[in-house]
Amino acid sequence: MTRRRLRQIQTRPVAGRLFCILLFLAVTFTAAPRWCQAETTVSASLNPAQFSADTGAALIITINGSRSADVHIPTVAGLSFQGRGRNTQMQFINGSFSSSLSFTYLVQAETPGKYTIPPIGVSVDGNTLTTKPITFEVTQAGSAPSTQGTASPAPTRLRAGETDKVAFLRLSELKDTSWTGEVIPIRIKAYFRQGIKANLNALPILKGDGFVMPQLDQKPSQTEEAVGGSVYSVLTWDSSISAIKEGRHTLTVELEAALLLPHRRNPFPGFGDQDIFQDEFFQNFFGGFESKTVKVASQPFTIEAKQLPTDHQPPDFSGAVGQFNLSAAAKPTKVEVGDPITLTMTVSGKGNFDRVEPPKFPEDPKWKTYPSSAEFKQGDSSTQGKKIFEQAIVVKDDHVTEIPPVSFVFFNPETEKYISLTSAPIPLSLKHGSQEAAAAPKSTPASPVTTAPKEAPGNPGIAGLAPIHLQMGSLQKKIVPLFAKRWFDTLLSLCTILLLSVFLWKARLRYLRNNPELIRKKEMRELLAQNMLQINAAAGKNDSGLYLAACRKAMQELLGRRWQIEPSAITLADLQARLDPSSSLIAIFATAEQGAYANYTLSAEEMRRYSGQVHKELSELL
Amino acid sequence: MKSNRYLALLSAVCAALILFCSSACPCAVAASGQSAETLFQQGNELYGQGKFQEALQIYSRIIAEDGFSGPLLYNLANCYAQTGRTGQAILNYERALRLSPGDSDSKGNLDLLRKSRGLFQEELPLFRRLASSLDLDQWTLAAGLSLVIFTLINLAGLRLSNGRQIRRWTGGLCLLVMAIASAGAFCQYRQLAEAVVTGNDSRLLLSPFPAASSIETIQEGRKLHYLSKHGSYALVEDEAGRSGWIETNAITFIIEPADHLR
Repeated sequence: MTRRRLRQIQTRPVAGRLFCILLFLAVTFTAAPRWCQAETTVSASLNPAQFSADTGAALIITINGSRSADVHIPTVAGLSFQGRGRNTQMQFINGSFSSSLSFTYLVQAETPGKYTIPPIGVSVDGNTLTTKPITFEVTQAGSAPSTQGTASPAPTRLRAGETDKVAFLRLSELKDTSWTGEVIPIRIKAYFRQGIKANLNALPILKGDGFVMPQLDQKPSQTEEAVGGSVYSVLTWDSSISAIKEGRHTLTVELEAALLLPHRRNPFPGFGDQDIFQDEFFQNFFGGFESKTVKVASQPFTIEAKQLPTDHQPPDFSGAVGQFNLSAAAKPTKVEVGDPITLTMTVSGKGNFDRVEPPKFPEDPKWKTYPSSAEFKQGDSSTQGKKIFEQAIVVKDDHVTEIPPVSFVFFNPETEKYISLTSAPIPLSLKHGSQEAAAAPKSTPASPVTTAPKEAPGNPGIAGLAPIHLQMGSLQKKIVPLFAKRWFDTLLSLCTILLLSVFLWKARLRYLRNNPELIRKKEMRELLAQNMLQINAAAGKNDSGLYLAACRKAMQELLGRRWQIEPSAITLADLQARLDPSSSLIAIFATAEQGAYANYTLSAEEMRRYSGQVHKELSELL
Repeated sequence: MKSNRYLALLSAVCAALILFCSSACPCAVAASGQSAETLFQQGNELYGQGKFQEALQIYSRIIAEDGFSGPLLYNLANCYAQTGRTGQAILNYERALRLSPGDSDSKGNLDLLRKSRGLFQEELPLFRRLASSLDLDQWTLAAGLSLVIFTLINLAGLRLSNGRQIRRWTGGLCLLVMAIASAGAFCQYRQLAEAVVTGNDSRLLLSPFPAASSIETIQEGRKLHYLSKHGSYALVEDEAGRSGWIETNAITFIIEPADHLR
């Protein structure tokens, strides 16, 4: 191996590592500014918000968006604050990074009463931020604290099944019954206990039949809530569900998340009651994290979906369920016959907008209409918004004075009735131009659906198209892909067979080249066959001399090739020395030698016998 | 000297092969009647006068009676575009491009129509973009030609002892082209199940029933990939990867599918 090659091999892992490092640095420095630019907020919470004089409460000051800060604890008469450490936390939830820093203090009161912790100053990056004041009550020593608290954030009671959970899901209150197609707003809140690092593996999904929920927002709102004395990070999604099948359906919402739970260390004996390694710093420093994938599910809920009433259902009903309004406008309203007008119809309100069809323009021979385009604009919530339809219409009669009203039908789930909305007619001013003007429109409709008509009246054509082709070309009955055409398949099959044959032939040649003995045997067989032809020809002429000479030549050539000796140099002595003494070849060779020097006559029977013996024994020698 | 003779032989064989392919191709031998040609010219004249609907009827008549060609489908698509029938226009441009993949007029008009109707196509991943640089037939032809040349090189190797190095390099190149073209053809195989939305205001449904909830409204002219069928509904996937059920009469296949897809 050359030195250069060695150097290449040694350099490759180093280059790979360097690339990984550079990639890591690039990712880090690309993301870093975003972390730094995050808005810094401070908050303080007291937990519990009411406690007795012989106990205490935890005051947690949380700084979001920064990893270093100085907290200035104010002096409050009757209260003492003891630092319990600080905790830095970085979260990466669903691609969104956030960092927070929290300081914990034990708050104790000397006497019962009402207290207020004034705004606490926190210095972050040269700026001073303040928390909101916290008011709380300290009861007599030994008395149980009441459930009413005033600290921020407001504590929330844990529901059944939520005790001791590090994560749980809650849904907003939902109605018990619904109509198929009706959109029901739903708020999904995922709670993760503070201090627990969590990664969402997927967005919450609706489990159960009969209802569907649209894709949730990738970026839920993030807040904090105190629940049952613990502070939770809360992710909130606002969405909706709607029934697609009638019946009673039990549903639940599930969320899959990977929780990073800290390993708790065993107390280290020998340091009294207070284990030094229980300190937050050592827990974070020495304690690792364990990733645990959990499925957090909400409490199951049941909704009965009812079928929309079929009695008095208008024929124009398209499936829209909710509360809607209809408005219509037209532009231009001063036109000539044949001019296109853009009619804009807006259906606004709340409901299942995916089933809102364009309002119906009445069929009228005085009007020519074109398909409408639709655009949906979402409102404040996922169920609110407006759908705007634009339709190109062309007036064909010069006696028309107004654009007729359009109608839209929907089902109102609150009144449980079908409502038919009708827009007001739009006054139209027709300019009475020449007949030619009526035949060809002059303006371009404002509708995005209908661009400049070319020549025919009301044509919603398209400008700038390449001209038509003047040569028709060859006609065919159907489009057949190339691979399905017979001639192509035949060609490919032929090539495949030829290729296989070539490969087999080459393989055979290679095999023979690697086995010279086979080639030698083949040559010997061919030589024997040639000599036997000569022997048989001589026998056919009944010429004993020629026959014996042919036999001698055959034996010399084949045995010479076999023994690697010049054929003409082989004598009777060689045969006697090398062949079995009982071999008939020796006798035949001796007869042939005699025949070469004396006139020797063989009968036809002898010739046939000799031929058979020569062929048999020489074949055996191959 | 011998290597030159080998190259000359190879060129001659390739030329003969191309001649064979072009002469054997059924599309090249399809006969076109005089009446079809006359009708085609009539259609062109009507189109020139701005009578798109009448021209459309004439082109449709030729297709129904005698069959179609790339230019005929292109002209028909222009008529549909001029009469505001976007779905049919896009369908026929796509069909014209299947027959004449290199036709810049069809490509240009199709792009213009899509742009003007707001039918913007989703950004495809790199491998799909590379695969769609040629259509299924072009990839198949490239793979087939590579196989033929590779076969000829191997056959020549049995008789010729010289030019082994050239044969080896050419053979390797053929194998590379064959592998790339086969991969491209495999990716473009889905073209066979492509359809265009020709119905107005069609909706993708969650399940194949009339009362099913709607996933989204799908615009006329959108290209869909057919997956399966249930009753009078087809399971399709749009260019953004969303799948849902749509009424079969709201879509039209670009290439008429096999019976099991109908």
